[in-house]
Amino acid sequence: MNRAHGVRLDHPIFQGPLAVNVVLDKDHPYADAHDGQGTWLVHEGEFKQGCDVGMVSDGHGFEDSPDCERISGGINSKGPKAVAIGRQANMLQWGFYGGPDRMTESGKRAFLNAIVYMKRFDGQVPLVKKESRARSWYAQFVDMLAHMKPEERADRGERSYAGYLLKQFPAELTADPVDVERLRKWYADNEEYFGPGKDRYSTAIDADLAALQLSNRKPEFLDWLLERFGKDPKDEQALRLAKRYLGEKNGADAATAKAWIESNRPFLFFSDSGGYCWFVDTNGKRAGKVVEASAGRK
Amino acid sequence: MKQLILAAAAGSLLLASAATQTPDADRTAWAEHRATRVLYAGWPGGSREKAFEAFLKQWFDRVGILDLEQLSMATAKDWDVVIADWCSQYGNDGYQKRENSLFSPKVGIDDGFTKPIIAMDYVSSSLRNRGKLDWL
Repeated sequence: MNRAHGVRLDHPIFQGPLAVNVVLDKDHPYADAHDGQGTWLVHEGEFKQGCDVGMVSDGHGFEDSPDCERISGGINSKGPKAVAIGRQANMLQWGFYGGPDRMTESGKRAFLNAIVYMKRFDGQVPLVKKESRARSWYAQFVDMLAHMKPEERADRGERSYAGYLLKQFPAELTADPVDVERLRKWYADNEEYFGPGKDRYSTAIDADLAALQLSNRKPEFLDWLLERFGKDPKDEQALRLAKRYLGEKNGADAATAKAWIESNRPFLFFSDSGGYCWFVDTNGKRAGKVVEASAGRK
Repeated sequence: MKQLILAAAAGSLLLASAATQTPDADRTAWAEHRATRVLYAGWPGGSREKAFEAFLKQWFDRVGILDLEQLSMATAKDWDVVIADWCSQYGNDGYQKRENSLFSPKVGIDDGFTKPIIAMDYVSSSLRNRGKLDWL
């Protein structure tokens, strides 16, 4: 990977202090993105031709905590949402292998600007650890299936990619011939009800949320808890959901949950990748900066 | 035809923009940032260390060099920004070729490490356990 895709040209590392002339070359698109966008050559040299491959991080759920920002993707095998250049708290990942001896002029300038940019994050610490696979992976699975030929989708062999993707969905939706639009509708219908699965690589539809038609990641969830606890502090369903999505400690009982929500409300955010849970933006709280969008972040 | 003219105009704008990036403009824009203290922590004596050191010294007055495995809040305390780097995993650029395991630096930072840090390539995976900046 020596090319960036999905570059946030409005990001400060491209704005200064040095001018950066990023050229998005449409003759080198990122085929898996199917978007016709051009890509930016960050450094010379290609993988298997004397150069290492570089690294991208999981972009799904990456920006669901306010300590993170995705600056660019890269041409890679994890998909167009993956993060090549991105920041979590005081750490910026520059996922390209090429050092200054290989960087293009624009690559060097953006890198120097990144050094200056990072100074402002002195003292910050990560708000969440990576605990789960974010729900938006399902949207990518559907897109990948949609771009396959029918015969590729029908291949369910042990090592088949389509087989792997289809196993992520409920079995009743994946009978041959695969109806991709049906999978897409299933995701759209259930998007707000995903919760943690049996391990960090799986998720599950939360039957309580689905029955209530209640999103776990929107502020309305917190309002719902407060309302239910206001009526009955022993409400079993509310207690169950409070423990599940506020955490065992913060959702231990109605009084604890109410106090935690009310004392942290402007600084609360929900993170899929952090374990399908509500968290406090402690960096923002220290700085008195309210979370801009506490729910529905990408 | 209209598209051609627009494309030509856009091309001219790009050239004009590039032409304004004179050394003088860079010097002025960069002046206050030369004082940023930058620590490069990498594979000791490697070709990447040499390339980074030469490059950084062109732009910053104070540049330090450290073995990445020695990185801690104590060794980073006098620096504004740390660049964390390691070696090629494929025997490129003069580094040895690995056999059965990855070259992983024996270093880790916890939440007590609050210095700004830029992690090159795969190094973020080694530095912070279960961070969002990871190959998984």
